[in-house]
Parts: sequence; structure tokens; C-alpha cells
Amino acid sequence: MKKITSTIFTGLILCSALTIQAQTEVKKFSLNGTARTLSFLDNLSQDVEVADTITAPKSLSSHTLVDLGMLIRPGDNIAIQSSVRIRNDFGGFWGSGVTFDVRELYVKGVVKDVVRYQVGDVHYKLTPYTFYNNDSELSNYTPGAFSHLLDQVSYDNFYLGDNTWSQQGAAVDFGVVFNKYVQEINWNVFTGRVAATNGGNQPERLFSAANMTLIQSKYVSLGVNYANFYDFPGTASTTEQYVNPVVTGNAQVAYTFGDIALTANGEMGKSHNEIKNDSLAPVLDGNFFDTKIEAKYTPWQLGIYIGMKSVGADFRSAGAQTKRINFDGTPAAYERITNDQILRETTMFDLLREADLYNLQLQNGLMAFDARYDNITPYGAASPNRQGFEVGLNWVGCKEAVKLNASFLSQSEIRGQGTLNLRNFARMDANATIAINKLVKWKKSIELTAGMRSDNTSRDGEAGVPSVELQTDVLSVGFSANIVSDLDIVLGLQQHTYAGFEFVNQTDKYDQIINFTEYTVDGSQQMIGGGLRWNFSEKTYLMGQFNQFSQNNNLVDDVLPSYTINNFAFIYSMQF
Amino acid sequence: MKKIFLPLFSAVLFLASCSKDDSGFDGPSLNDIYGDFSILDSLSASAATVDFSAGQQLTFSAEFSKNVNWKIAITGNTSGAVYTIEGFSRLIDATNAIWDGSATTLPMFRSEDCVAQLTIDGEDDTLTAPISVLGTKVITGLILSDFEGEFNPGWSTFVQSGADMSFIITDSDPAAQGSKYYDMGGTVDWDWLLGLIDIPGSAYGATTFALNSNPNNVYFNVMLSKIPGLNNGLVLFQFREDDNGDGVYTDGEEDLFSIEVALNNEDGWQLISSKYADMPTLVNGAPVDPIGNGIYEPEKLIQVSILMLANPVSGYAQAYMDLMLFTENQPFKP
Repeated sequence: MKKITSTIFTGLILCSALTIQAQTEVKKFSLNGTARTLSFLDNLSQDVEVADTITAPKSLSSHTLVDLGMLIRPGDNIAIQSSVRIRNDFGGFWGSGVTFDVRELYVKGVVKDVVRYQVGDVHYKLTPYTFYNNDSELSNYTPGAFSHLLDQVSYDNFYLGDNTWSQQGAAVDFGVVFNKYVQEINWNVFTGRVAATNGGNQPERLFSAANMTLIQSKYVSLGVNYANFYDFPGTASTTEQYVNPVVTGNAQVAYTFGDIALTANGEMGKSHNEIKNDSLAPVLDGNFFDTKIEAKYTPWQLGIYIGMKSVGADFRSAGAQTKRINFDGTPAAYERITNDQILRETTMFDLLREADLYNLQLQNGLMAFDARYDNITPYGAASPNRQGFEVGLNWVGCKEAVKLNASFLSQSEIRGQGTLNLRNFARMDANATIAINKLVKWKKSIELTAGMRSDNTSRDGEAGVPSVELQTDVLSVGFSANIVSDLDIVLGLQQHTYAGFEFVNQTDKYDQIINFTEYTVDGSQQMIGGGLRWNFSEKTYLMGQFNQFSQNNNLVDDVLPSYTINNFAFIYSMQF
Repeated sequence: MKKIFLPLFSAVLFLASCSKDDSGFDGPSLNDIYGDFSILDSLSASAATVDFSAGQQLTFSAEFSKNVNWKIAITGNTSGAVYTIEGFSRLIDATNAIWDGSATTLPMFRSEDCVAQLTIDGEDDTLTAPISVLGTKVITGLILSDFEGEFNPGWSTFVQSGADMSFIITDSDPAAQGSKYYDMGGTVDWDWLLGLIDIPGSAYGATTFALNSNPNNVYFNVMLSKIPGLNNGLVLFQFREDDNGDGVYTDGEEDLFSIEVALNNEDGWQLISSKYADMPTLVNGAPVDPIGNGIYEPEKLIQVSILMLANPVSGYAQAYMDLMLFTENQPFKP
């Protein structure tokens, strides 16, 4: 311990505010928050032989909300943040339709300049295999014109853009620095309450995580991670207890050979999934490894990488496999259409603007997913029953006017489903950002973005069993240009096509496959739109845009017809 | 650092090569849903003859191209007894198709020729295999009577002087077990009682019956047959305990448990089994508080009585009775 020269904080959550506090005079009390007004005017048209006389074709919805936050600093090393949401749906004057909610509440501080803590609402993550809020399907292919809508949904669901999960609990972070052999070791510990007991068959459900990271030097760092999603025994009359501990180790090595910077990182670990005292529940033990080596030629800003991974079929990690989108949900807008009032499926249009389609809390088991949107990585990096490799490159050129990323992924199942034949997965992915104004040396911003993803799932058939062949493609193009002063024009196109045949698993309450249903799709979704955005400041803007969403079903026997929704959206968004 | 990357990359390749560690597949077989059905191996029995009385068993085998719902029905050519085995599998073998001589429903098998018939859900094929039963399965338990021999001289009977009275051992109709059974019938238009049999423990060599003292482990079993067209028969079984151990049953002071069987459902033989600890005390068919100490004490059972009853205004009543026995730990399996 003589080698320990000092202690420092290396917390992941609370650094910024209190660091500033130590250096500058800060106010004891300050207000912060966000405000927005959202208005949608929709017009539905359906491709049906007999006109729909039941569904109202036009729909108008608007609301204003303010998240009013208060940051109180009663002492040098303590801060209290609370935020109250006031929402008023248009037409709800004089108290009707107005809701008040506590949106956020936490206390954070520092003990003896050594240990940081936060109690209440905590945003936390570890690694993609232990505790990680994976991006939702298609969200990375949303052009800027539509991302204004998606940003509101993400904000409402506490998806902060850093893949953290918002939990209610307590977090503690601390670290020590060494002067020889090891630079520093950092510890992070978190526990949150996922669900309250009902006293009967549901005990208190908690999620706890811990991490230790050893930074040996700028070349080598090592980490050990632990996460457990579990029932707290004795808090309900049932003796059944769900446990899902995950233990992983990760490492990163970095070195530079002349103009070539090499990095290698990897993570491997195992999981255990069990309901104790339930003789019918299966015990699942799974493991995984994930490695990646990247080389970057710095003069060209060109990087290439290759990665290999294997995630066992029985690998379960609630903290990393919980999905954002709840595909069992149904859209609120035009929930049922046609004279038969058929339930409308969730589309990428709904995912852009309906916060209720998303999930806020960690879930045990594997949530439902829609193969059209992502059949390869439905549960992010920790998607079970996958093994294969990925290669890719990234390049920044033309004086940083052009940024390009491209990758190819090839995976297969490890264990078959309903057959010994394994599914094969292939994904091509590319996106580019071009700052046209830099190329033509124009002062005002002109930016073009483009992205594409092509996914293929296949599996050989066998006597009588049809083969699996599912092709899904996503195309995204965005354009934004500063016209005059603070006025921008934004345009966007997002297209999603899908065709083929797949089997969808039916599972029991233990997440075991009990049957398969045939899943045939042939159609497309397309959203095209544009609008004008006035930027009052970097964090405040006013935007009006027109979007047209269309869904085409090419299957003759599909009961859901093709339809189009024309949408006018008005957005006023402010952060303060 | 150069030395680090090579081993690291090698380790990655090693891990990749080790990752195929799973076998089989998850979920039900898709081949069972979509695959073509064919019989790869026809139905066969492990032996053409079988002697169940010698402890032998018979196993069946067959093989299909996919998992199917199958059913084997073994039928006795003489008795008409039936034993069925059902399953969902691709293979039929000793793990899922064993016959120990039991019958699924009454009557029981005799020493006779039988035929096993295999049917498959959704398929027209029916496969058969002949079997000859040389000896029937051994019946274990305290047998009060199977009515194959003479009337037990230790029993006593009372039969009303009504019309068409028949309290006899006979083989006029097929028996539930063996070839003979006890026929109870007649018309008594002034009383519910047609006739009764008292079976004292002394008929089996001791004052009380040699039964396990745990009432949860003792089962009374009897085979009764409802006669087609007659729905008025009631058979009441009474179990008298010698609570005080004086060698006699004292009315109104010691326990009298009962089972009442109304023969008004399906025609034909049925097996009645009752756990001793579940027998109520009945007065005129209604449960009442126990008469004696209220403790189920099978080892103190001193007499079993069988009363053939019928509503006096209902006319002719009749019932057949066959194999009557006590078993331990579980009901009798025919």
C-alpha cells in the first residue's frame, strides 16, 4: 500500500458537475430542464376496394410539456436534482388533460473526496454483455429530418444516447492511483430496484452490477464485470427465486507501430439463468467471447478491423438483452384500420413518435422481436446463439469533409431451432457523411448523409421443411442545408424493404421454444419528408415538416392493406 | 508489444474453433410438422407368447420417419379386455411401450389370444401383431373373493323373499376377472334391501382383517357392473371396526364406515376403489359424524358387509360383482 500515492475519483456518472463545483463558484440553487410543443396532423389513406367508413382518416394531436428541474447544492460535496413534468394535451384547459409527474429525483455527492455516490435515479451501464441499453432497431438509419421526432421519444424514455439504462437505486464509484506497475484501479458498484414485490408470487426484483477496471498503462487495461438480475428472497410468500448472474472479463491492448495504431479488445464470460425452487424451470448456463482487432493508418485516417465472437444459445443477460422496443405493443395512432378494424402493426413511422411503444425497465427472458427490423442482432451484441466474424473499415478524408464506415458481418447459429440445420446470417452495412460545404468551400453548412443495411437470413430446408430465406434492406438518405441566417432546410428518406420466409419462435413462460409459426413477409415501408428548422440556439429550435409514410404489402392474402399516412409535424424544442 | 498481438490473435482463433459446443436443437422438431410420414419398421412384439403370471412383460417396437401421436390397443379375443399405450415419438421401444398384462379398463385379460393394433394420428396405416397370453398377471393384495370358486363358507347372507331373487355365483355373462362373478338381483317392493352379505374377518383366519394400520395406505377395491336398462341399483359396502378390541362389533358404539355406489351411469363393469381414510360414515346415504372413536383403524376392521339396495317402488334391480380385495399403497390396477 506504500505504493499508493493518492486517491482519485474515476466515476463514470457524476464527474462533470462536481468537478466544476470544485473549481468555480457555483450557485446553491439553479433551474434546468426542457420544454417542447409537439403537434401532429395525420391523414390516412388506404388501398382498399371498399372504402373504410369506420376509421376517421384525419387525426390531430398536440401537447406541450415542461420538465422543470431544480438543482440544489446544500453543501460543497452534495447535490440534489429533481425534475417535475407538467404536460398539457391541447384542448385540456383549466386543469383537464394536465398531468404532473416527478420525472427525475436523485442525490449525489462525494465522501471525503474519495467515494462518489448517487442515490435515486441513476443512469448506468457496464459492457454490452452485462448491462447495456442497446440502440433500437433502425434508429441508426434515421436521417436527420426524422431524428427530431425520435429524439423526443428517446428523451421521454430516458435513452440518453450513451446506452445507459435509467434505474432507481444507488451507485458508488471510487478508484486508486499507483505510481508503479499499475496506473490506476477503478471500482463501480450499482444496485437498482426493478420491480416491487406483490407479497405473493413476485418477490422484490433487483439488479446489481459491479465492475473493476485496472489500467496498467496506456497500452493495457483489464476489467472484471459482474451483473445479477435477481429476486430478493423472503420478500414474498413464494419460495421461487429468479437469478441471472453474469460474470465477464474484458481486456484492451493498444500499441502504435510508426503510423499504424493497433488496438485489440475482447470480452468473455458466462451466465447462469435459473428459477430456484421451480422444478419445471430449466437451468441455462451460457458463455460467450467477443474479440476485435483494429488497425488505423493515421496519415490516411483509415481504419480496418476484424472481430470474432460466439454467444452461446443459453447465454442470458437481462441487463444486456432487454430490448428498447416492446414489439407486443400496438400503435396508438390508427390502432385499427379498414372496415374490419384490423389491428395495425407497429411501423418505423410509429417508432419515430410513440414513446409508449418503448420499454423502460429491464426484463427477464428474451423479449419478442420483429424479424423484419433486425433478425441478426435482435438483442444487440449479446444476442444469443450467434457466432461468426465481422470486418469493417472507417475513413475520414477530404479534410474531414467525408466520413465513411462500412462493415460486413457473417454469423451462424450455434444450435439449431427445430432442426439440426443452422441459420446463416449476413449483413452489409455502410454509412457516409459528406460535408458538402467543406468540399466546395462554402461557409454555410450543407450536409448529406447516407446509410444502408442489407441483412440476409437463410437456412437449408429438409424433407418437407421449407427453407428459411429472409432479406431485409434499409436505405437512408438525409440532407440539411443552412439557407439564411439560422434557418435550415432538412430533407430525409428512409426505406425499409423485406421479403421472404422465416419461422418465429413461440416460447413458454420459461423462455423455452414450444412451437414455431410461419412468418412470410413481402412489402416495404417508406418515409419521405422535409421541412424548415429555425435554430434559436444550439439547444433550441422550431421546426415544421411534412412527412409521407407508406406501407406496401405485396402478399395477396395479407389482411392488412397497403396504406399511406401524410403527416405534418410541428416541433418546438428547448433545453435550458 | 509485437509479442502480444500474435498470441492474442491465436487465442481468438482458438476460442473461435472451440465455440461449437452445443448439440441437438431447441424446440420441437420441424420435421414433425412438415416431414413426410413413413413407417421405417413395422409393429412387432418382443415375443409371440407371454406368461404374465411368471413375471414376464411384453415390449413393442416400431419406427417412423418422424415423431407422431401413436396408439397401441391390445384386445383380448375372448375377454374383450383392452389395454392401450399412447405416445408421441418417432421410436416405439421398451422405453415407451411395455405391457405387463394390465387392462386399461375392465374386464381384465384372461389366458387367451390377443391382438395388438397400432394406429397413428392423421395416417391411414394400421399395424397389427398377434400375442398369446399364457398366464394372467398376478393379483396382489388381500383378496376377499374373485368368485371363481365356491361361496366362502365363512360368509353369511340374507336374501329377501321377493320376486326373481338371484344371489348366486354365475358365468352367464362375461366376468370382469376370470369367468365367474356374483349376481345380485330381485324385486322387493316393501324394503330398500334386496339382500346382503356379511364377510367377517374370521373368514380369513383371524378376528380382524390383516390390513396395514395406516388408513392412507389401504384401499378397498371391487368390480361392479351396471346392467343395461336398470338404473336403480345401489350397492352399499360397510366396514365395521372393533374399536375397543373386544372381538365383536357393538352397534352405536363403534365405527362403521361406508361406501355407497349408485349404478346409474354407464353400463358394464367398473372398478370402484376407495382409500380407507376417505370412507365416510353414512346414515341413509348422507355423511354424518363417526359413531365410534372416529379414527380410521384398518387393522381393527372386523367385518365387511355388502348390501344390495333399491328403491322399493323402482321395480327389479340387479348388479354384478367381481373381484373384491384390499390393496396397499395404491388402488388396484386391473
